[in-house]
Amino acid sequence: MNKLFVIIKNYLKLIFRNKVMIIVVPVATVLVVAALANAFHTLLDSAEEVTDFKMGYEMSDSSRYAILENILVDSFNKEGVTAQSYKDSNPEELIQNGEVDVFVNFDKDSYHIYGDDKKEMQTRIVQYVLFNVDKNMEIGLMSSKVDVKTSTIESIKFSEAENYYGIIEIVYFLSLCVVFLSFIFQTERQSHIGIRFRVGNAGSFIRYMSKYISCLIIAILVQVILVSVIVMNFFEVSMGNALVFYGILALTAIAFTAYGLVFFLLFKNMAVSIGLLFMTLWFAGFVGGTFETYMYSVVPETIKRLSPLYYVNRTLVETSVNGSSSMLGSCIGVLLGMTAVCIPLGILITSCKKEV
Amino acid sequence: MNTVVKLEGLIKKYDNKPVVDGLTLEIKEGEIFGLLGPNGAGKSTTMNMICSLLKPTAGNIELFGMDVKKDSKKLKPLIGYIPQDLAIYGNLKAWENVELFTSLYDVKGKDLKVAVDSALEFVELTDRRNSYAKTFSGGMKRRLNIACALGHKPKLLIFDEPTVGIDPQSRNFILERIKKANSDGTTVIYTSHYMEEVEAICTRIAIMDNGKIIAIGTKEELKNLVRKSPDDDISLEQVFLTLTGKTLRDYV
Repeated sequence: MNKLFVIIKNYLKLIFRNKVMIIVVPVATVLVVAALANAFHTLLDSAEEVTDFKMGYEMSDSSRYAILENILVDSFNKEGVTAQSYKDSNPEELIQNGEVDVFVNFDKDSYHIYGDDKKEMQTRIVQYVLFNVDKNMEIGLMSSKVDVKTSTIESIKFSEAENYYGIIEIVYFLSLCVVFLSFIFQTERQSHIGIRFRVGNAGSFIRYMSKYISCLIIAILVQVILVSVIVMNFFEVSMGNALVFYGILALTAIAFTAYGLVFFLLFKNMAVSIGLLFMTLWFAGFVGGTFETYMYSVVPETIKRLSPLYYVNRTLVETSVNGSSSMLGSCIGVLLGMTAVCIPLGILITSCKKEV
Repeated sequence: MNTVVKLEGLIKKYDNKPVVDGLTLEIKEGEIFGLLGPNGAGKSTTMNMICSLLKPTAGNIELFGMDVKKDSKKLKPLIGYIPQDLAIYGNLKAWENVELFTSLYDVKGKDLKVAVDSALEFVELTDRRNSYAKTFSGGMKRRLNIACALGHKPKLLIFDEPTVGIDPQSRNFILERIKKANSDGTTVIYTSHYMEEVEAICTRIAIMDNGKIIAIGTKEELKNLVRKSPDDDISLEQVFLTLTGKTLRDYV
């Protein structure tokens, strides 16, 4: 333990002495939050304003949604959306006359949404709600029980742009926290310092854990504590539930440090390691709501669920807005799974790569 | 004299080509043993196998009477390895570098502090103990590189070309320190391309080529191998070139 402690202590000294990195990462997070919040301000804030509108619908008697009609109407009403039933109506005419903002035609196994280009947000809200209803209905039918949970409907409460990107970019930069170690890897490779560790009594477990723990400490100090405090105060971001917020951020740091280290250990060339790590995280962020909000993203849900960042983003945003999230369990599972795979893999690579 | 290093039929192959080919060698306690050879002769591979950095394809290595494979953990504290590269952190202070690498051998607490002070004193860097290694001259970095391998007080020191790219004063200092460490009871294995260094400090020398030892003995014994008459004034470099040839070795 003494050995591990001394190595970690010296790694931390090295990281803190690299002031550029310590300053650049928090500043970059704040700048990206500001830039994205500004860019998507109109989109998200318009969604926030659209809480009270009229939705017309026509329900076919044979529609699988018919049994849910009352629940649907109640749920929409709770969200400030007035749902009005029509028979033999002409949706386009109703919208053009301004009688309704959106119209939904429920057929046997499908529904058709009619919207107006100028009221795209209202259409998307209805689309999102129905998507969630549909998903719950499938689960309900499988268990011979139809139950639309109002909590799913509540998740359409929209976050302000600053709130959304404040949370999401803390998570994104946290997922990149292994870059704090990049110059240590660089120095060790250039000077073949690893040989000293191997000649000394430092086994692969100690060599790996010293890097992992140092990076984790920095990630938690800088990104989870310092940056989140700055971003939350500067952009007035709401945590929703402090325990969930900091707990998930800590788990994210634990999982993504292990994930990032795999790339640094696997490839000798630093440019390749960083390039591939950024590529995978960019993809995860792209489908997971880091750049475009996951609520409006056209990316299919199954693809979104391939990204660990999606689980983290949704959990934190929903907790911030609603105080809780149905995604919490899956999110913890995904992060623990990543950790359980990446740490042993990292130790294995460390013991296999015998640089001389 | 006890045998410190015993190599028996040591073979290391890469892609089925032998880099070290049946090496048999004994180094006694208290020796400064020079290992010479052109590029690609197998010197570094041999050193790496002695330090347990590489596994031999065949053959045995015994250090201090213990098998390197079986007793690797017991043997590591007995070895100090000074790599050719400056294996130090520029952003750590001199004492921090020595502390870090000494602590790898389970030296802790007060013993660690004493060990760090003593290693820095040995290479005369006590005055600069609080300076960052990146601010050091080439010679000082070399000295620090050595200090990092001395903290745990090894009984066998392995130097892999420790004087590359430094001024004559620093080189002279390092050679003096190696002799001092040896007179304090440490056995030394020394590789270098500088013949005059090997000639100045080594008690016994082996010349390697193509993975084999082609000559071994004291410098006088080696010189006698190529002397045509007893009056011939011959240098170690002439011995080396006569035995290994003048063909360029482009080692990849």
